[in-house]
Amino acid sequence: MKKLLFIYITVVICGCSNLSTKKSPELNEFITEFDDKPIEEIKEEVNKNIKQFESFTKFFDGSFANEIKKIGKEDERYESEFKIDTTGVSKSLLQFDNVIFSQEFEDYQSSLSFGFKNPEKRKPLELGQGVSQTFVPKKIYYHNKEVKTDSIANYEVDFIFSDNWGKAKIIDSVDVLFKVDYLKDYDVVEVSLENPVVNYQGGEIRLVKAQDNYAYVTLSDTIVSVTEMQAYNMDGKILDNSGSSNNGVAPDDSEDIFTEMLDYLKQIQKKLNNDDFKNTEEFQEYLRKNMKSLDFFHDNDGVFHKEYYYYGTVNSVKLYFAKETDTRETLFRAYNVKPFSNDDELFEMNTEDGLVFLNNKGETEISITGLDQGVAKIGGDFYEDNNYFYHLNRSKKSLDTLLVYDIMAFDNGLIGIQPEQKDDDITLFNSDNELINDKKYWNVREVGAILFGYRNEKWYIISAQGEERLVSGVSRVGDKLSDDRILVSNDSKYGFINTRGAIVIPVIYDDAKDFERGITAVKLGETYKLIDIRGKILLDTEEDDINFFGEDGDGNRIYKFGYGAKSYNYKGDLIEK
Amino acid sequence: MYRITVLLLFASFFSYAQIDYKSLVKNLEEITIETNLNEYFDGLPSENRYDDLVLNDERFLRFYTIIIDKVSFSSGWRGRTMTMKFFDEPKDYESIKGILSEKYGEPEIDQRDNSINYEWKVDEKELSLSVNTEDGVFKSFDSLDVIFNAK
Amino acid sequence: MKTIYSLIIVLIVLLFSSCTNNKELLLKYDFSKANSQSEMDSLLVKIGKENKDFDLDTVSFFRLNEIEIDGMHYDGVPVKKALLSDSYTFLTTDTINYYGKKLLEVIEAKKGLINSENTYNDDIQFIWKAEREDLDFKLNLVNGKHLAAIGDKDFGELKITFKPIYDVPLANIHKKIKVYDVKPTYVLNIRSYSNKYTVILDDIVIAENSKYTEHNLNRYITDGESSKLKIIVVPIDNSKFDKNGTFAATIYDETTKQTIADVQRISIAGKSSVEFTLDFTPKLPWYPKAWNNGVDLRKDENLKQKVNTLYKRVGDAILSKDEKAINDLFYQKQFEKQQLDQDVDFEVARTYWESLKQIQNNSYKYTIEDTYSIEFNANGRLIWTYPTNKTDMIIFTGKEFSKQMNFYLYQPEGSNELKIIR
Repeated sequence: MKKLLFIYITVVICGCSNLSTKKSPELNEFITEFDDKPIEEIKEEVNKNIKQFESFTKFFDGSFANEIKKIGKEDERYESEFKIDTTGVSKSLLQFDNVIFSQEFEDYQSSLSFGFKNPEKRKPLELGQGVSQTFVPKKIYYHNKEVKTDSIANYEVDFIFSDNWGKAKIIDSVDVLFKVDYLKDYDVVEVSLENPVVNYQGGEIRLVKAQDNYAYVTLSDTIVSVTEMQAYNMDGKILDNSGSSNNGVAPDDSEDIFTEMLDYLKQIQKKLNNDDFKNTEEFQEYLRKNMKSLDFFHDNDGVFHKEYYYYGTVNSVKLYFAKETDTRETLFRAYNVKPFSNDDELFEMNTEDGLVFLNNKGETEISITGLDQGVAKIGGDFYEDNNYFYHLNRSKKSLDTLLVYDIMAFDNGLIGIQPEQKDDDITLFNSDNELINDKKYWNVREVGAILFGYRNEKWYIISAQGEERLVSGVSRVGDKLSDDRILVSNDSKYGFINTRGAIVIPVIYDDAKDFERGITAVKLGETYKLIDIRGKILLDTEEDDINFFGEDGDGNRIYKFGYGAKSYNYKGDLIEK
Repeated sequence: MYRITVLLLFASFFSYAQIDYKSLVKNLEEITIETNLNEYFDGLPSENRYDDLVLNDERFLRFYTIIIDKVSFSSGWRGRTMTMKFFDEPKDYESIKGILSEKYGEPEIDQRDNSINYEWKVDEKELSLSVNTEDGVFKSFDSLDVIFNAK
Repeated sequence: MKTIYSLIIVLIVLLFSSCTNNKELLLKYDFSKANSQSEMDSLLVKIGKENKDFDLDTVSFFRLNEIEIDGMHYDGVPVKKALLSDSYTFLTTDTINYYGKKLLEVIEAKKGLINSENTYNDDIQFIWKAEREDLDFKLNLVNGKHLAAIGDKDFGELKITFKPIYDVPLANIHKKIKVYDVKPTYVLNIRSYSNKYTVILDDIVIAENSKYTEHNLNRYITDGESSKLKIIVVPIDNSKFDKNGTFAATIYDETTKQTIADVQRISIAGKSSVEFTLDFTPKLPWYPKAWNNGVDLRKDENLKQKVNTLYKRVGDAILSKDEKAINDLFYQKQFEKQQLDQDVDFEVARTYWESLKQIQNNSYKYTIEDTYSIEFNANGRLIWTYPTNKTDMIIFTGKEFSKQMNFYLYQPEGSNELKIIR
């Protein structure tokens, strides 16, 4: 942990960002890390870390293996011209109606990772050049009814990794503001070998050096930051970029920075090994006085240095500056993928001392030590690890091991258990591991948030209390709930039920699809018809076969019949060819 | 004499214990309809793939001294068929053509855009050589099928 | 005199040259001499002791040592690089002097010629599987073309994997199998479209209302007396046979492809069930003890208790990995099955043994069916139980793991306990 911090901070300090006045907090943070640490331990760590740092600097040497070299015409690589691409902007605003997040807890902190309910969608759409997307959390709705709006803007909405979202407390949902900033208009400034200096925005842009594949440009630090930089070769072709670095200090200096830093660290190491410091405070005082005087921390030249490497011989460089940007935004709500149904539900958290169970206020209710690996919650008070299933016994404050074949959790709070093997019937339990009814189901399935159970060749809707409601006259139940309708069938005919299990559209159709936006296609008699959620026929397509649905630009369904002969949009309007 | 044999024995101890590869080589031009294949190929690794006997160790398979990549035998109503695949060497192609023409006379030639087929027919057997060509020049072997007519 | 003299000199020179060609004094570490993983580990320790600059790990679990030292060889063929883990050894020859070819020849001299594997590239691969070790050899062509034209730069890679040694007889059944001149394998083949069949051989129900159309009969044969095979056919939906329904069946010897007995194709249209009989006299070179000395269990009042006891023994033995108990339970069944098939493949018994041990790794409990019906076969001497509630008589359960078992049982004369026989 500490080693990583050391390296991270050193890299950040020596790294490639413009540190003028912002350095001090980092420096201080670095120094305060040593508080309460015995000097012996510091000595040991520095000795170890210097070795790592040395190999690290070797990595940074030569700027990522980029060097000035001649690249022949046949090895040149090109890219396309910078262009504002806002085609995806409107579509991107519509993609957030089914966002979920999963929440994990460790060491009394909570972390969230976001995703989409549709498993095929992994992350938000990527947009073109000149467009930036940001997510700003606006409200956190905790399960204990608290709503937090302040100090949350910095929490990251990450669709790949999980990020820290504050103290451990169950979050039911989050309101997030999605902003798209896109370039509406931009300025282009070109510097070239013939014309290396250009004035812009009261500052100067200078092509200091262009040699073979290398371009070194400086910009006065009064100029706004560059959106994009592209290099052209002699024939006017845009060269592909192979590496770059942006510094607050001039290039030649940065290499010296590394060696200076390393020398300085070695000095510290020597002093530590000589026991020059009586205690940690003396050491910290020394650091405070000395690090500030390092050359590196002085960036006085008032200029941004940009070095770029390309796959080709650079002749000129175009810099694109944002002139006018526009913003579009939308607010969406993301839901916890494992919603808590009971108010007294607990959630597990791994800490250094063992496994801890917290209530939804974040208070510890049960603490279990002696488990060598973490458990994951299945649902309710049921947990699992790699080898066993467990039930949290609240009165005994322990985990009871359940020697069963499989346990599955349903959204309505019920738990299904197969006691011995794959082909077993499923019996239903509540969160307290009590049998909820005495029925054995051959199959239990959730459609939307409705729990269906199949036994004795009949389907039932099962409530959170285990009460059954027979879905009569139905032998198969579909797997999608939309517009309060679920597709069902009886032998060869189709119909629809609502979420209370009542057949609201009779089971008379020869074919039927799920509803979307209040409309679906069914086949009655010889032809396909479009109906609404009351079963009313909106139109007869006069076609006798249906093709796979298409999708329009916004992701809405397109109905296709007769091998494409006729297409209807999601509203049921005929699409003209 | 006695000393020589002792010395000879001594010398033989120092060489590698080895398989006599040369003695295992089979010249497939010897095969007829009556050959008991299991006995003939005794000692060589072989496979039975869907009732066909397949051998593919080129160290031991020769056809008129030309190296065979793979040979398979199948039985049908026509008798026994031996299918051989060679490595794509142009000189092997010329050799086989020459040897078979010498033994069995002029073949029936069916030349197409990308392939040529040669057929020889004699009393006991039929031979069919197919090769792939590109612009009329030999590119690769397809196979050489020898069909032994059932009695 | 002179010729004999020169002959002797030639021989002495030959001796000398073969000596030095072997470089026996320079080839110190022979990987082919190790017969087990522990012997290979000892070799590694020896190499470590004699080559102190190599920092070899000989103790940790996932160790991987990479060595390039002079003197390494495999039965005389110099090895350039060796990779030794705690479970396998990977040797690579140099790309000179036909070392690849030589290594192949040395292995073939030890293990014999086998068919090569199908590879997706030009490499030539052979895998010798044996009870103690697997040798996986790959010849990488550099300047060679194929096996009959190997180049001097072609190099060989050999992976040696040692297998655990099992002492238990259940894993060594192949060593006891006798092979005879004849190997009859009697198979019943039914040719009829989509019906359910009950097959009874000599009063033993082999299949009941099953859709399977092929049955191996050997394992139900206990002597060379004439046998009666009865087949009862019912339609799949319990009504009447299809109007085009026909039935034909053959008992044939799979080894000689000879038909032993058959029912010629006959129409069964319109009927609701039919019964056919085939008589044949099996002639096996060996007959098992089977249930021949079993007692008639039809009058046994404690039968259900005995069944339960037997399955409890199975459950306890497997969950506690009690090797002796597992062996006692399954040996006779496995031995007779393998001997009837004259199966000398060493992997069959070893794999069965490993699969029994594996159950314990994955399960935490077993449950036994307590409601079942008993079927008496072979004049009451052989029983089969049909579980009512569960899918089998004993089920092992683990986290998302289950394994179930059911056996034919008999009680040998003089014993009071049931025994697994098929």
